[in-house]
Amino acid sequence: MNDPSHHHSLDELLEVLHQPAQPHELSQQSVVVDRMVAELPAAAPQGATAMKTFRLTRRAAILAAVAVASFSGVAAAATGVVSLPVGARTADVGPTSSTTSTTEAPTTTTEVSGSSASSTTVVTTASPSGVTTVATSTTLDSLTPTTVAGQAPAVVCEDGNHGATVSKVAHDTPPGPGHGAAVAAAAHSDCGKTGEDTEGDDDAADVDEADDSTHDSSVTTAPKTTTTTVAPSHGNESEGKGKNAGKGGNHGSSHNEGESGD
Amino acid sequence: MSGAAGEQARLDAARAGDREALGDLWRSHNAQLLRYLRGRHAGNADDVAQQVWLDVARGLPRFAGDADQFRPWLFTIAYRRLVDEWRQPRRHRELGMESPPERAIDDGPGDGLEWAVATIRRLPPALADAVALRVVADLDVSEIAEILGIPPGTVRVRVHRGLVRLRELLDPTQMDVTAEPVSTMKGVS
Repeated sequence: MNDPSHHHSLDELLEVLHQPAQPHELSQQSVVVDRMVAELPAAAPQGATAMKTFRLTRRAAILAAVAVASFSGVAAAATGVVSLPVGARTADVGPTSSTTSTTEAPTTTTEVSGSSASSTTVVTTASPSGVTTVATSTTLDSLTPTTVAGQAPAVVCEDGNHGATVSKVAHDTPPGPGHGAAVAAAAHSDCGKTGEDTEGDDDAADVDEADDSTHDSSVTTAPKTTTTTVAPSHGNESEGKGKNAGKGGNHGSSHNEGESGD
Repeated sequence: MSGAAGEQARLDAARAGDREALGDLWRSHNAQLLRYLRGRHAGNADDVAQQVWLDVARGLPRFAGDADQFRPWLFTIAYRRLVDEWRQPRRHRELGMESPPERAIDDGPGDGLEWAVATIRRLPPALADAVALRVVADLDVSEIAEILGIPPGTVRVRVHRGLVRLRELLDPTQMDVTAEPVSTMKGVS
């Protein structure tokens, strides 16, 4: 059946393929088994090492990813603080601070309101806008300077008299569409009232450190506060604070700084 | 010790690095492995088989199967080695080198075996794979399907067609082979 020229059957072929191992098929046993024995002990440790290395690498990768993620978050926050104006920094530090800062904006405005209609507008805008977006804050910034220009000296809340503050706003604000709003803002403000927020006054020093002029005029503070783009974080609070627009610049600002300091 | 238990004990001993157990494993499977490799165009079947056994030694500590699963695992390694081998000649041809000449049908010892594997080599590759793993390696359809990465039904069809084709090759007068079902062939279930 080994003669290729002879016609074999399939059965014969299968028989041949199933025949026991031939001597020449087992001739290399010692060589191969020797090499297998040599490979086998080496294989186990290598495999184990490889697996350990893999696991360690994977853990390191995970840790690195977590670290990068957390650091990037911090970096992002830091970036936000840095990019904002000095006064705004306080607000960015924390949500709580943000709220306070929002309050400041209206306060300053109120002071100003006595001098011009535009300031009144500012007040109105301040509350809701702060809540909404950064763009709004930009608006505030642009408005603030205008308001500030004429009103810096008009700060009423210096003596801490709420009634006097409201009265002054009522008298100083020319009759018109913004008059009622300005007075209302002043009336709703905490200016001159003694309350939990008082401690903020002490913290005003922080602001002063950032900007010396702040203490003298609420105006200075106002821009910072206004910058408060921060407002978005505390929409509700900012709205509520917005009603406090009548507060004195320092008073409001002190709130911001104090909370931010925390 | 019963056959199955003995096989398992031998495998465990080989896994632990026992030289005698490794030798037993080699003796039990090397002949089938060589025939399979020769039937599938391995340029140098002895060298490829040696590489397969070294792969087995390296992978044995991690091999979690029992004695029944050892042979499918061995031929899985062999098949992958073959695939690597087939790629090399192609590279040789691309470089202008000739692929190794096929063995003559009747040269060397055991020329009956050479004739048999040479006949399998004449099959189209897809059919030769299925037939060699079924007939030479004695694996079942599901094991072959897993090795080749094809559905079991496809394996059955290829084995059937391969055996029909072999019959045609062995007896050219039986060109119309469709009459006889493959399942009646000896050694093929």
